[in-house]
Amino acid sequence: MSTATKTDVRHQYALVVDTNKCIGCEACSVACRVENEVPDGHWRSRIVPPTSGGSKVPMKWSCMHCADAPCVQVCPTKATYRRPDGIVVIEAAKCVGCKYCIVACPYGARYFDEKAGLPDKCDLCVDRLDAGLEPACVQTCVGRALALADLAAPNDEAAARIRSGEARPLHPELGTKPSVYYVVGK
Amino acid sequence: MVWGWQIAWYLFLGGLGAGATLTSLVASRAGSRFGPIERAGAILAGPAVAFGTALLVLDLGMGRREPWRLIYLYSNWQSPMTWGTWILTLFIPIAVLHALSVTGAFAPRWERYVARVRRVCVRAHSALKVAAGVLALSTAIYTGVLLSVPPSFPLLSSWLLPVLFLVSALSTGLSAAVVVGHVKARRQRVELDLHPWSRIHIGLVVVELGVLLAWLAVGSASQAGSDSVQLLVSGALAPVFWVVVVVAGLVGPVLAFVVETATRGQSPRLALAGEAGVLAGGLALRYLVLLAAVPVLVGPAL
Repeated sequence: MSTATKTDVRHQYALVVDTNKCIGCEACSVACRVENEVPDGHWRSRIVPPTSGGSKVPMKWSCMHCADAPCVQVCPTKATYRRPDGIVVIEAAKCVGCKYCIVACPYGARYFDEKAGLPDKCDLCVDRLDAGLEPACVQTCVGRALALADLAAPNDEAAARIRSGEARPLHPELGTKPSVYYVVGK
Repeated sequence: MVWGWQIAWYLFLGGLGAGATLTSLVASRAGSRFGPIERAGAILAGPAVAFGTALLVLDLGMGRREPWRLIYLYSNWQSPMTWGTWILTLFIPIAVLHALSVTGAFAPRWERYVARVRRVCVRAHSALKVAAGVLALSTAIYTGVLLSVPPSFPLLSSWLLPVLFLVSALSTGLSAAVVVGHVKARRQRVELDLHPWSRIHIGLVVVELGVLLAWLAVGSASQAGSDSVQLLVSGALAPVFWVVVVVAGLVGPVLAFVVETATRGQSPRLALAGEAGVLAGGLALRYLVLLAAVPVLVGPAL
């Protein structure tokens, strides 16, 4: 990751998932696996099928990039932190692999990579963002159900859907202030 | 729950070492006839906590492969694990120094190496007692706080968990100190009077039963919490919960200690069986707390 973005507060990223447009094709999951070389048996991003829980539509599920992230609070080494642009990342060089972040995440968005000895999760493809590209899942999404929002940009369409309340976070009652927003029903 | 047996043993041994230290401090106030218990508690504490901490380190990913990374563990003051790292870092050496201050030359071969340190420890005995006591309490409470801070597992996210772990730590530490103290005294052909300890232990175990029930009751308030409680009391974990934690670890020992107290120390074997039950129950409790942790959002589903 470039240090330029680390201190860049001109962006405030969020993800908008329009479930009306999602057909549950898992293209985002596959693009994510390829882009981030996710080991077998784990996922950074997945589609939760509509039959599970109370959901009636397929839901893209990944790190919620919470503003009050439990993983950031409990990480003893400060390897996990939230960048000024809103993305929660893991600084691998500082991580001891204690798994406390995995225990702490109420969204179950993290996994432990035994081979690397480190936890991992969605980082909104920071390397791509820093290179001016969209996250792999957003770029791949067949139905254009996914959009990267920039809450710091006044004319950002996806951000407008968040501001208007059309897109809402999942389980706000957990109090972690997630940055992934869902449009459900029309 | 991504934490497994290493963490369960660590939580158990950390609590046991803390409880053993506190037992040693109580024994030291109760007079010289409890010398064997005072010494046993003090000697047990350092190695128990150090061994538990070693398991914790073995469970790490990169921290085990590149141990110099462990220095980062001291940095996040918001993280209970950073608090724990500081507490353990201080408690282990203080527990060893405290042991040196209350024991005689128990290993003559090593004595010439430790003689000078021991003299300093004996002089600093009172200060070491205070430090060991504060750090032991911190350790016992911290093991519960570690699990209770995150919001991810409702049964665990309860202030009653640190209370439960504290009482269980006192109980398991007392058991370990009594068993080891008894064995050591036996070897010196001294018959220890165990029934005052059994009487204290009745109180501890009754309180632990109460806290356990309260913790389960409070935990049942949420869906995931109630699923966790179901797992424990009637689900897959129920056999271990009822047989090892409740019967062997709490109810059985209370009965054994009551008989032991009633016969005024005529049934030391019964008391020792009770202590063994407490230790098994304490370990099983740590395992079950991890195994019964049902996430707040069941699976990754909505």
